[in-house]
Amino acid sequence: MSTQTYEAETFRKLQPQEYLRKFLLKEVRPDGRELKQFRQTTVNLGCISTTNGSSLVRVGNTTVVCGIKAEVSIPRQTSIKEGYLVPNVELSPMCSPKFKPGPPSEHAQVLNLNTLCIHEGAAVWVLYADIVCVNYDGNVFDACVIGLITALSNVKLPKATFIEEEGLVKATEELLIPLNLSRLPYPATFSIFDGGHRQYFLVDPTEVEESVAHEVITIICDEAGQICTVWKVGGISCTPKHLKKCISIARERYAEIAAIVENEEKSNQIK
Amino acid sequence: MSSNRVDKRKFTEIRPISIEQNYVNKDGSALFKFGDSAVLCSINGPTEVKVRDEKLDKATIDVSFKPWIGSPGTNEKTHELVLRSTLESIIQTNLHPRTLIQVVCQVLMDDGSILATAINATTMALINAGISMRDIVVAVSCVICKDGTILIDPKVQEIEENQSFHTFAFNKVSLNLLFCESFGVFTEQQYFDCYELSKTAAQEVINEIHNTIKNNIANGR
Repeated sequence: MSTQTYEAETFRKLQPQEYLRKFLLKEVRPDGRELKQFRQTTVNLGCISTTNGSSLVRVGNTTVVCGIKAEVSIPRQTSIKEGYLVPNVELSPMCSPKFKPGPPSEHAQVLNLNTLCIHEGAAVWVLYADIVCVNYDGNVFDACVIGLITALSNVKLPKATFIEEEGLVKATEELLIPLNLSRLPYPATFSIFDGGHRQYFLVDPTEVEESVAHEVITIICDEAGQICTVWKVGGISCTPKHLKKCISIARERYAEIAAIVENEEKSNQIK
Repeated sequence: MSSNRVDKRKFTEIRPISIEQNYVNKDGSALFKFGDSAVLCSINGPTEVKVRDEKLDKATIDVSFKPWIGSPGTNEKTHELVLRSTLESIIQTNLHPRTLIQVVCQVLMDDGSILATAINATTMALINAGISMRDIVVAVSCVICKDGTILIDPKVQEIEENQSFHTFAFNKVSLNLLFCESFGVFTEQQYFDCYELSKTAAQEVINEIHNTIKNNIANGR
């Protein structure tokens, strides 16, 4: 009996799971990375001049653009002192034929919302954050969160005062105040691939890895080493030991992103 | 230990659980209550599937999550996503290829910990529908207050005043973490404290589920 042989490309298309498993047995991934290696990440701040704050983030081939537009609005009845953030993620068929549910809006809590208040009960700033995915190659959630946070740190609002007699808000263009962010959280995402005899934790998965993986864990840390979000969708069960490992990798990743952002801010100031 | 929780419960005490199966006339249904929080879950299937959603080697699982008031928003979409992926790992979908298992969760009353209530309701409804499962899943929520105390199974009022909110789902056999959703600001130590307390509470939920099933069998239902 002769054994059938395939071209590697044919094998990948026919047996995507087995294809990935063969790589992981050798502790390497199809794109040449190690299991714990993130893709190269770049951040470009203030790339859109018509917005109040913007950033362009690339994680490997995944590219997202985030623009933030500030408007004056009436505060919500429930919290008259706070302004609010409206995040919106656009994943058009341009970036990928797949459509994924957008990240939930809980990241709004990052902002010290009191600073968006112009006049209690009358007018607050509302920030519209539009995140557009230009190129989709997996792990779009991380890219979106990095995009949102860096764009927020890039926001500069004009000084605004509320004139009670006229009921109007006046803003001066000369005085621009940067936003007061209480913390800067950055994310790390893991895919778990069940390779039969053991589970592989793949850091920063590509689209191909995402489509065959069984589970996704996202952890968001801040500068003090505190955790802001742990999100696990429920594909495979895992033990606290695994989670601890993920958290420590997320902290390393935090330092990595923070360094990249700092470099970019420095080079912006020189310009 | 007396506590200053709104309903005088202990910090680690879950609210009284009430489970009712065969609630509506479907293939399987259950009403699960954590105190006032109530979710009705009904199961249809395995039934015919649209060609577009058909999977050749396993059943398709479709989840709709209906909120208490208003129409479904992004939050409900996220709930649907986690319910679906959690169910895909515990239902033996390979036994029913090219079929559809439809899960509908309707919130009847929202008094906090609603996602945990929905996960438990779905488990009971699946058991009621007689769908083969590898394991069963139970969920418990908790919050960390500003002073660091952990409250299990919080009410709406307690969730609003807290520092962070966590929902954990465990599988029954190994009591390992299946699903987790944690928002807010907390330390690693606090996170694993929550994990352990939720695990203990999950065991109580499992006991309650066991009793219900035993009673139902004894009463010939």
